[in-house]
Amino acid sequence: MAELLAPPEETSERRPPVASGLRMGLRALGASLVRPLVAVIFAFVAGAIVILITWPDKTVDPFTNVIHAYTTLFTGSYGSLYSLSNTLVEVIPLTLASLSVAISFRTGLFNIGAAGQLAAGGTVADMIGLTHQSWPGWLLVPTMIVAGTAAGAIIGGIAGFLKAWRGAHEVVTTIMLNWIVFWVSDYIINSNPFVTPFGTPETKVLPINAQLPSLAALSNQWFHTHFNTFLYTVDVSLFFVIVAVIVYWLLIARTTFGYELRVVGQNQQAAKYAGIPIKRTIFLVMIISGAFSGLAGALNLMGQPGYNLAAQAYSQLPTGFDAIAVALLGNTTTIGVVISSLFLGGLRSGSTDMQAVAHVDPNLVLVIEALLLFFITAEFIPIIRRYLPAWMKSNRGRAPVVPARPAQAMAELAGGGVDGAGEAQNEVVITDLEKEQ
Amino acid sequence: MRRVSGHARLASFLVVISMLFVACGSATAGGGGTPTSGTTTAPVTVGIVTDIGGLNDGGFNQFSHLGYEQARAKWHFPDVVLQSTVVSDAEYKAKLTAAANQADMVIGIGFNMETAITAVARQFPNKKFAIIDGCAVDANFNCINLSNVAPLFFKEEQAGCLVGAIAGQMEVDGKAKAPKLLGYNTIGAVGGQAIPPVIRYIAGYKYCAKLVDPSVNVVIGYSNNFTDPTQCSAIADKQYSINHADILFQVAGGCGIGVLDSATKHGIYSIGVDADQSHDSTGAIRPSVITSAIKRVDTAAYDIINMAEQQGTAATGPYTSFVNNPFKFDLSNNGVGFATPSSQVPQDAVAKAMALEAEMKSGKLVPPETIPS
Repeated sequence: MAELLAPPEETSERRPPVASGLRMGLRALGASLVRPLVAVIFAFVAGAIVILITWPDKTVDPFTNVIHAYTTLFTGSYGSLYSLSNTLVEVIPLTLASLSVAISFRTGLFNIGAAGQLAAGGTVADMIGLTHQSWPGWLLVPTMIVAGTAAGAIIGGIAGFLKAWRGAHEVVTTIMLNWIVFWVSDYIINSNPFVTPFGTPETKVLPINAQLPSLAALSNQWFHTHFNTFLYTVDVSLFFVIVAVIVYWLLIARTTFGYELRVVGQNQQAAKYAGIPIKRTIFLVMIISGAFSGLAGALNLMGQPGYNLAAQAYSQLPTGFDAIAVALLGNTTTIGVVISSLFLGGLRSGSTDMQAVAHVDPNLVLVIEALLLFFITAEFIPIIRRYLPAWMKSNRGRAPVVPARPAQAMAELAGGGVDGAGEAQNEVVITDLEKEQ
Repeated sequence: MRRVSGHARLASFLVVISMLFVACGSATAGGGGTPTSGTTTAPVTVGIVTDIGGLNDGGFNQFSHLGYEQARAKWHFPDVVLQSTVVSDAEYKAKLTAAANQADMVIGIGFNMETAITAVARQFPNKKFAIIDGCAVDANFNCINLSNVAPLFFKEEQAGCLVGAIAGQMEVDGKAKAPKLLGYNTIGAVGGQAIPPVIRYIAGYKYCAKLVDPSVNVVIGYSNNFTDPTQCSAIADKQYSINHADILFQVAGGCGIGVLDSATKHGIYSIGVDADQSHDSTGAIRPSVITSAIKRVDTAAYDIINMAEQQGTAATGPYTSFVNNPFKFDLSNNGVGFATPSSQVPQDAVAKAMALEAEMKSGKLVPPETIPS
């Protein structure tokens, strides 16, 4: 905010007023990348300091330990086909949950309930799959997916309804709903007719007509390759994710509704003045948000080997909360969310190799994630910028805005995030007043 | 000028950080390296994959790791320790596969991993595996015999019997020797889930308590939870207030700590499980705990690693014969036992337990594996 009030810097270097679209786009891209990049660098440096101090692998010197840790972290996430497959398995539900959180951020809401909505989606899908085992695959699979999505949407909708029409803060309601869903899900998992008869607290395995095939199996079938389906477990949910990302982008950047929700996120007063129905928007956004997470839960159940649910697993699953980190790191833009979830999913799955080879505690990855969140939200860049020598400062001017700050923070109306070419700037259009509810 | 001092501050910050790197980087690493093995053949590298709960869970993970470290101290192989963070087949498979890539033998901890370790063992037929409290399974959770998977089972009913005997004898002795008893001749057990190891513990407990005190009532409850203490303390509270049980046996892992705390709160007795739970993690004593039914997972881990190391290049050796004819870890091979009873336990109860222990070792007494009615 201070940047807006400060006098413009470096007036002698002011560029000509109309730069080419590409150059402006690139400059905006650079501006919006700086914050996440700096946060990532800081978090890794802090993680390196932790490894140096704790020195977990005493067979090498601490500095080599750090190098080992980070190289295995990266090779373990993307270094081989096997790692890539494992990373994608993590990334698929993470991306969907992050889209869920991102769309709510855009509207100025904090959807902390991604974990519960995911659990609802998975549980409902499992219930349907186990109850209708005789249905043919082409009927059962879409039904389960739609039902899972709807379950997540309902949970999100409850929080949205309470927020829109009763003013209940969505952070509280979504977290509470999380726990309601977890406990109800546990109860369902442990009860007949879903629980396995073998005495373990898990559901029965889904029949083959309810399972999604893995990419390796499909490729073996169609292209006569010989991929090991045990090792390469990433499944066709990947295509669902790609479609969901496109849908998200279309929704946010190309529809009226998307425009409305962005305005609500930036400045509710302006939205009301423009005739945008705020309550309805909030309600619908929470429904959509819940739908994304519910879809994630259903797809994870149907695509990953095991094909069943274990009691208490959902309450310990970090996906819902990682999604918040991803959405923040990615600045809630589509590209940002995709890249950040690839990054964070990679971190998570790379930690296995980091443990195995470099003997670093798996919790270090959690430390790095937490630090990432910290550095993203703590806005160190203006402070650093103040101390940079003159030649490093440019007249980029203000920091890029996270499009959906909560309404309490003053909206920064200037400068937009990069969100696909041609996204409309945040102009407020005075629409027909009769539209306002 | 302000900008110059800002420069200086940034520069000095960077200098300090780089000094930190240099200082730490040049710390001598010589003293910390593992010594080269003195044996002529390289030892089998063994890795363990823990269940959720971390390495300091006061239970299976911690004691298996203890046995592992003891074996490592003897055989000097590099350490490969992976911790699972989520209860899911995918997670277990990923960790077990990573461990199998780094080690020649992998020990999985806990029955949760049965399906995963079966699949991974099939994937790596030339590596050895072992599961604590489990076996290789088929789709219906029946134990199958895979040539590279060693099941490590325990006779928990023997441990349950020992603590059941103590409980029964204390009920017979009455308030004169055990002042905290309520006088209703009722004891309790709180299980995590009705899975076979838990059932075996409770079966032995009830069987031997009734052997010593035929008229004793045994109330049993299940919390369906191994991690949240409040669940189990709620059940313990009910067993105290409704059934007037005064000796509570917890068979619920981390959740069961709630049973011990509830017993302390109500001023009655309790019995721990798997490890000596008479003290909590800070070392403070738990006043209600009179003994614990011990399951020596560290012995099991140590023994199976020893067997694998001794296998050498022989086609069949201690490991292979164990896989084909697994013995169960019980009293005769220091696999189960009971913790040193506290001073609250009268001498005749301890003597009764020792007598039954001798009978079980000799084979005269065989407690059942399922709970008697």
